[in-house]
Amino acid sequence: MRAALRTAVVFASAIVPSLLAAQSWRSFDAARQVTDTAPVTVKVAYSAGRVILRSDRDGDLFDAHLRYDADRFEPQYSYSASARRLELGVRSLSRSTRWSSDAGSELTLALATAVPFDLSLDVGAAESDLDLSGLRLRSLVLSTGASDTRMHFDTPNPIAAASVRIDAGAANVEALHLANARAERISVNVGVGRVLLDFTGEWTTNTAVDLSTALGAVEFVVPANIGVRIETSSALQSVDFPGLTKRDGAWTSDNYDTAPFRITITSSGAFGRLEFRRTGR
Amino acid sequence: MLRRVLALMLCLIGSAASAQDRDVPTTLTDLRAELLGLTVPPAAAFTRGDRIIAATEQVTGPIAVVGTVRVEGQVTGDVFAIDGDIIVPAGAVINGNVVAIGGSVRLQGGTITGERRSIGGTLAPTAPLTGSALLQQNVSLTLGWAAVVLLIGVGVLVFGGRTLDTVGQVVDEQFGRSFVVGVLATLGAAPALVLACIGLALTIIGLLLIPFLIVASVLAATGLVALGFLAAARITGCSFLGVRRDTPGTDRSAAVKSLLAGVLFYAVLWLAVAVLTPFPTAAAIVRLAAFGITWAAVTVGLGATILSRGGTQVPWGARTSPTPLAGPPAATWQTPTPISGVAAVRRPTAGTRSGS
Repeated sequence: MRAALRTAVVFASAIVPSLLAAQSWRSFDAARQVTDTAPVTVKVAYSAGRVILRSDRDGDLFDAHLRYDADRFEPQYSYSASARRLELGVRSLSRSTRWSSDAGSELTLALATAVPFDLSLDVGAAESDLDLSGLRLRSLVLSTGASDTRMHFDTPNPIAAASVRIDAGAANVEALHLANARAERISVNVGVGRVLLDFTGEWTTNTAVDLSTALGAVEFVVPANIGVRIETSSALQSVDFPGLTKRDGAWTSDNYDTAPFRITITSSGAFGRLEFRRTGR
Repeated sequence: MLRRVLALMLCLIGSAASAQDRDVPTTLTDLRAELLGLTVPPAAAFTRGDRIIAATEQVTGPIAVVGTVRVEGQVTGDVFAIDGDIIVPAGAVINGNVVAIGGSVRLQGGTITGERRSIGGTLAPTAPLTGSALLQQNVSLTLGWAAVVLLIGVGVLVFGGRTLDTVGQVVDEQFGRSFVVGVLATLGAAPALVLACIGLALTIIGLLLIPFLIVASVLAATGLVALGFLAAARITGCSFLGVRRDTPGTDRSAAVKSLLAGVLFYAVLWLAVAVLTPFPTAAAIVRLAAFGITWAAVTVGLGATILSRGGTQVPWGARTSPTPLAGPPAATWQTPTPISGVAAVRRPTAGTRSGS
């Protein structure tokens, strides 16, 4: 029995690596210097690997770096100077029948701090670190499938963002220091993932959050000096709102009427879990 | 190095030469995406060796070099470098794009009004495999799949040997019935799933459950098919090795050997297809046969898995359940209890209890 089992396992173990072929890693860099400060639309579509976004400090409008397996992907890059539009990502070639890992695939994009951007990020199953600190964001759309995404505004957005939208399918998303986005309206759609919305940062305006959840969990972190009002429309949602009391059909903080700034969260959806937490700043 | 440069030159020729040049279609596609939007000079325009454009020079491009380019003056037009860097120090101005293939663009205070691109890493054309490389890949793929199936089979044998035995028994004893059930299951799976989804869509809660139903159905179908195929493969192996098929559970060694033989049998079918890669017609014929035989095995196995309720019970019409695996013998006598009473008490005898 053991001999036969050993033979089978050894045979299988020896053969399996033949499927794991070597990859043809290729890098692609594209950049352009800043010539003016007219707004630019940026669309990033990236399916798997690692995505890094940050501000550029070398005087470039954008500085993009892609690393990809040339057997399986090709870069998708275009910049229209007239339309002020940058599109970046990779496209699957769908011609390889080999198994290979996406580990090592990477997209790094640095954007100018002097130019306003309308930023749209479509991140599939990638691991993302989106450092939006210092960027001039007019609008932001983050769509993600099953990624592990960390998005943070460590410094205030120099301009007010007209809108911020986060669509998280089955992703784990951390949006930190959202107050620094300076957005009056934030829209969040959660499928079955988990989203942390941290509203710390420098408050300059009241904020309205439209939240839609299917089965996911959403946690809000709001500074203690901000007035909070949460309206939930589903009786099937699980809520945990310590420190808030029900007033006029909505969960409201005691300081809602006197706070310098307020956040109003309107939640809709069938199931899911909503958690609320206060923080010192 | 020379080969790399030649490959890149071919690529550049291809991208410059339009669709008329059919000799380098693979290289055409290779860097096409990376060079999209640029007008690449023809191969003849590339000069060999490093080049320096002095601070006093004003040059009209494009500049195309196999080597490194250092621009200290002014260039109007694009700059291309293969296997070299493009260096733009302070004071230099390039009114155009700069592209370094197999190198990098080193902006050291100069001005580039266009784009700067650099392409590095593996630059050899990633053409579709042909000839012996394709043959090698197909053989590797076939052996790899066989190994994966075998690994799964060994896992099932170790952790669910009885289940595999039961399904195998049904394959062996109710071949025709299993086949019919397998065909019906194959034909009915998709409509059944659609009907179930429609049924769920009638309610809001059901609507939310549809994605889970689809995922669960796919997983369940995959499990049933895999279990069925492994059982069919093992019965096939039993036939080849002459192992008794009615009591497979009694000898684990024979079970592993028969599974190995069965999987190898199907692997050999597909290996034949792989080996015949250089002969497309013969490969197509053999592929058809291999597909038919494998499909029959999968279908019979699926039917047997369904008939045996996933290997949990022997269906009506089959002889008996397989002999149990090695382990403690079934109790041959019973101690009376307050609940069951003293229905029967059979003391072990020498004939029923080993070692006594």
